Amino acid sequence: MSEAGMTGERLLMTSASRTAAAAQPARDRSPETILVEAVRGGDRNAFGQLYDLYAPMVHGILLARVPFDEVDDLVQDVFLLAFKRIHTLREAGAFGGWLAMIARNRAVDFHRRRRETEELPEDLARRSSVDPEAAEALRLIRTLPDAYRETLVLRLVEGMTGPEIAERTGLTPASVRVNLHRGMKMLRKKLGMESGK
Amino acid sequence: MNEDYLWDKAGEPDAEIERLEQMLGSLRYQRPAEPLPLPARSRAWTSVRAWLRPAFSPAFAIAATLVILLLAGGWWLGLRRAQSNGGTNTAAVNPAPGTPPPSSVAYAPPPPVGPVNPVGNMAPKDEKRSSARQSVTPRRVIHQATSESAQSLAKVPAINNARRARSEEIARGQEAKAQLIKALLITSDKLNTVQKKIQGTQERNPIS
Repeated sequence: MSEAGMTGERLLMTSASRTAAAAQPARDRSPETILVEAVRGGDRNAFGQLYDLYAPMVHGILLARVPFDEVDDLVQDVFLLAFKRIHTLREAGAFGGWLAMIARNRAVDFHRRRRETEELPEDLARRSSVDPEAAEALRLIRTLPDAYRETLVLRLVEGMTGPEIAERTGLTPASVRVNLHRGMKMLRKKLGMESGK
Repeated sequence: MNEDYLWDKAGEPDAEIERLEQMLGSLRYQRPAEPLPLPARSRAWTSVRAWLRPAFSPAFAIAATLVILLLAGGWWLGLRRAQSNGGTNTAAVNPAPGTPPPSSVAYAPPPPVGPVNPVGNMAPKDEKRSSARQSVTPRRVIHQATSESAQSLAKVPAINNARRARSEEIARGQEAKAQLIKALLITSDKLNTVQKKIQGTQERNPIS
């Protein structure tokens, strides 16, 4: 049984599920839906579970866009923002896509604010504590188009499978598959070009 | 390239993908030691919001509309009543030219006039003169009484007209009140229908 399925069955037995709307049978709803409804009902522990489920996705989305040193702080920012605004989410089942959008917007906001304040040195990546080879591979992935780099980071860095990426981000499995295939093809070319220099 | 391995890590591992996974794995998300510091939110506020959220928009809008309609109706009725009362009073104080005075003016006692008053405050010296006058006074009194009754009889149609106007105004007011109540009932009925429709939609789609 998948992790999501196990989480769902465990949740059905908790008190959080009692607060969920009774109109639809609980077994027809995803664990994320049950957790979101529990958070809306004031259950803070349920938000902790959502954090555990979605933190790798948010981390991957941010890592594909912002410097590695900033990612952890921004992950917390994204979840705090989501906690404050969760009552504005119309469909509890769309939590993953909604959270991914918050993370992307937060990354855009980060770059906008950074331009307004100061220019960071170009060799900052080399100065950080990250393994140089990993930093170089990540730099190459970041040169890919948005859709490809995000999917590749979730697959290669966060270790998620294609179906997991689709489930968390709200993308269709077919889109994720295409993005992975084309992105990997482009990355191989770039790696070959880099090694050929 | 092994597409299955790239997709769901199934099948034979691709060497280059494995190398990238190992290299980039050092950047993977690591759960922080401390839990996420969530902002404090009072339990009461949370429960109030949870209670309000599903029912706020339609039910509160309908209730607010009803209250506003009732207040507006009451205000309008009060205004109409005040206007009708004010119109009667104005007519009583300042009658239009050619309009007969209302009943309150018609029955006002006439001001006392010296020669007409037979007893009055007379000095003792004038007793003889006054006894001489007393022979004339009854006729004058009878004449005055006759003229007063004639005046009163002349004012009767004016009184009737004023009463008729007032009763017509009351009837118009009651008719307007009945129309307003009917309008409020129709509005309330329509709002109930809308509420039932909204509730039906919410039952069909409880998540949104």
